[in-house]
Amino acid sequence: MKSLTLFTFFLASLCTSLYGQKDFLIESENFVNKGGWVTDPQFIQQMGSTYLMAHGMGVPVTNASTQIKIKKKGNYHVWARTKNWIPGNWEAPGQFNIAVNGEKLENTLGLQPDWNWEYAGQIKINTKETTIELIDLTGFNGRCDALYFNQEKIVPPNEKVALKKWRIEKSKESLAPKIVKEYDLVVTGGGLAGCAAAIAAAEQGLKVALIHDRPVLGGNASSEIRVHTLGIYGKFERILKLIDTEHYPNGSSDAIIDQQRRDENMQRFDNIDIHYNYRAYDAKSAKEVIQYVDARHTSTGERIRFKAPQFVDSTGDGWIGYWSGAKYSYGRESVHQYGEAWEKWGELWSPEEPDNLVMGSSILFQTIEDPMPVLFPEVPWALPVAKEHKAVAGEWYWEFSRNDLHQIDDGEEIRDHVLRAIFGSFANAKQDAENQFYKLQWVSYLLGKRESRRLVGDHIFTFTDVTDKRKFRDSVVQEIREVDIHYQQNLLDDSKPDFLSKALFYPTEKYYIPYRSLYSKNINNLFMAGRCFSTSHAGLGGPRVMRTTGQMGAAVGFAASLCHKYKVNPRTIYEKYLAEYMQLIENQQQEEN
Amino acid sequence: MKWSLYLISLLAGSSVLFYQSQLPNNPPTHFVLDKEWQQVSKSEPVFVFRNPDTTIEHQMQLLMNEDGLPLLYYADIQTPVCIDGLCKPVYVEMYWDLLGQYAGYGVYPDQLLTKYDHDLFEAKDHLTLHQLLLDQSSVLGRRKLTQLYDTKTSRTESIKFKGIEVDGISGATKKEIKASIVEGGLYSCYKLWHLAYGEATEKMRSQLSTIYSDTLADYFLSSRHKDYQFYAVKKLKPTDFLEKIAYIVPIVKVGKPLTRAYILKKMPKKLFQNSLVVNEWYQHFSDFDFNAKTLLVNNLQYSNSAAALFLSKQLTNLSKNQLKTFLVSVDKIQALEVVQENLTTFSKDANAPHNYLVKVFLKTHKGE
Repeated sequence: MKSLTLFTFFLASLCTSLYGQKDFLIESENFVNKGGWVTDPQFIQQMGSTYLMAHGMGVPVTNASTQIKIKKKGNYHVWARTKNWIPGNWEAPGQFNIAVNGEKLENTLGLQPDWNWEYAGQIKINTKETTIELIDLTGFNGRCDALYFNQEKIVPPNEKVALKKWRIEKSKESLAPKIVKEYDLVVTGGGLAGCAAAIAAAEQGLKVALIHDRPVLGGNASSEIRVHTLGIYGKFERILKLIDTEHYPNGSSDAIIDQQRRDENMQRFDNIDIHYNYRAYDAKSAKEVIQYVDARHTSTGERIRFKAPQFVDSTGDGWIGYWSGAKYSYGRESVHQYGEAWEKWGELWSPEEPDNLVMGSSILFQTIEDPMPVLFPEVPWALPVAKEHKAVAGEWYWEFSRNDLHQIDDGEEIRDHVLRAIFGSFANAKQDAENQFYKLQWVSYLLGKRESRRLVGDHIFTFTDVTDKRKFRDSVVQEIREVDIHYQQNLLDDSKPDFLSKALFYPTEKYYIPYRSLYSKNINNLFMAGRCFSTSHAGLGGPRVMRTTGQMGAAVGFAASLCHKYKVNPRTIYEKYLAEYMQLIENQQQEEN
Repeated sequence: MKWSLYLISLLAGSSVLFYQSQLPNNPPTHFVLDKEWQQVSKSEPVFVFRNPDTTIEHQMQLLMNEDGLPLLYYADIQTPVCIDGLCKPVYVEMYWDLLGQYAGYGVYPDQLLTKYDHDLFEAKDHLTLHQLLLDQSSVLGRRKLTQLYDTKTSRTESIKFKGIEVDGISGATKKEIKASIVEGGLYSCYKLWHLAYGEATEKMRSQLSTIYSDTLADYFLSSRHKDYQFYAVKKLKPTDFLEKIAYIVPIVKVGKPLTRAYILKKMPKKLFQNSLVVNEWYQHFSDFDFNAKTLLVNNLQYSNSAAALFLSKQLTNLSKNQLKTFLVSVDKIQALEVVQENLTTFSKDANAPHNYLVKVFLKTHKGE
């Protein structure tokens, strides 16, 4: 409730912002009315900002608009930071216009490759109250990061460091967030692992901040990505049943029901401060101890500094660890490093030479049949990816990974590639009369990632922990689901589309993950839960599914409560308080029984 | 006659038929390799393998050409397929490659395959069975027969759930499973798949290391069978690459993307300067799959100006990241002078989406 009040205040203050200089910058995500444009904060670390995107699935979205007050009337030159997201020998797919006080600026935007400032034109502004609109022309993912108005026609900088500095100057942003909040535990990332960590810690009486960069909790299980949760509950059935999903088909709108239940359940905890729509952008450590995490609201830009004795990295991409200097790994280890061979599948399972070919990311989509035929636009820009492939349904195996692309650094390109696969395959299918009634009902624009950075803990969980049926003194997570590792189908047959994967399943008896894989080896007050826990590539094959990552979160939350109780760091729980910790976890199951 | 043999073997624990060499009785009707079976002139009994869930054993034969070069594994299979306690015999002559992978099958003209309702397999059913047996990672390998019952008959309507597919069995949709199995022939399909990939495969795999020789290595390296190529390449030590380069260069050109990647990662870096490598790989860069392209670009730093020149003529085939790596390598191997003209042309190509990267590169290297 408190967050909502604050948010409303910020929206109101934006409406009355005075732009008095000869130039001013408007971040598109600050637009009060976003119309049909969606807020996309996924790639801030790569391209510099949250942006608005016209994700209309082929139908132009309604205008985004905002009102500002300017002090100085006169002629303004206007730039938009944008990109042609698929440059090529075709009409750019994501085109849009800017209108000021209803007057459309001369140039169409979204035409230049890669993020840069495109010149929209000039406009005479005679009124203090000025309305600015983004007008989508295509319905195919035009994107706008920011608008810049200048009376002197000076092109803003675009180089990463210079742009960052320039933005801070233009927005008159202080170096550090002015709002500082202190908690017993700060959890960053509200996927299943982060939610479970927050619940477990809160149940033990800790005051918890949960920072999440979306308006809904659940991460890959959310209604925005819609992967159903797999795996067992382990010792944490009660907690995980508050936040998991039914086994609906991946991509199903049934995810919305579970979404409501999850958010309601999470909001019932008085001592969990859920910071929806705040995306962490920094974490600072001193002497291997994290001091704070800084986060920014993805629409208002408000920044908060979060302080706590302990932190949980459940960002999936291991951002908190990365910023604070935690050791991490990425890519596939050599099969010899941990002895993770499955001879039957050789290189596909674990390669002789290490490489960066990790499991890919997915985008799910849903179609419906209308009573009347539905047209779908031509998408020549999508066909180089989709080729001849036809589809009116997606699934988990719509997955993309390629060895020149990094799942984090190149996330936007990966997302865009899968969008092209979907739009192109659907357009191909629509050529057949039998599919004339199909229409795209929902296509996610958020990447459902499987694998990226893995933070290094005191124990690195590997496939051999599964094959050797290793039990640990500190086994806090258990799983019986098959270990499955995916590979791109075109690795065996290059006639296959590059966006389809296949899974290799290793059947297993119950296996265990030790607590020592859930805290950082070198950052003393950092836990991790979720796919960024301490594991090898092949080790991740099994426990990356969301009930298992949820178990990790719960285990971490309970450990954090003991850290709080004894004023110690995570490693000390293993070294000195393991019996109490294991009993605490055991009690969870007994409570359930 | 076959039926009585089957009964005898079933009753007598099948030992009477074993350890005798046997050549195939009928030509295979479905086969994936290069008709190696036509070169077969002798055979050798090598081991027996168990029929899953029965006490029956089958004799595996190693088939060879007249010089004694191993070509295929072969078994003349008679197996009961039982449904609801009622068993009927199925006769199949099955072939495997030397890696223990199913390669094909043939049938006896008087003992054709039938379905649950006794209808004969049609041509399309044989094709389905053949494709199923080729799929080593089929869901049949992970599920009990009872877990697949509903693919046989009526429950396939549940494939669709509100207009989209249901991932009913993890890793494979019901629709996929149904499409991979002969309709009305689930039991035969299941039995034959498990015969193809059961104990027999393990035994063939372990035997390969005992029959593998320099002759067989060269046979594999020069084979069109891509899995043979991969096996042989994996057996090479990095120090063998120079000696075998005449084999390796074409394998990269025609092999599976996985094999290409393996070679490009494992090959000693100095061999990227080899003239065969430069002329055959870098010159024909655009023919390769994307992952191979990345590895070729990544290894340009170990190659030479000639390779850079070839690449500089094909820059439209490079992704943004590949192009960035290429430009870094041009610096590293000091190839700017050689490629400058092509870079300039590319930087002015309006249809090249990443030409701006080259523009910036040329601008920063102005005067060099």
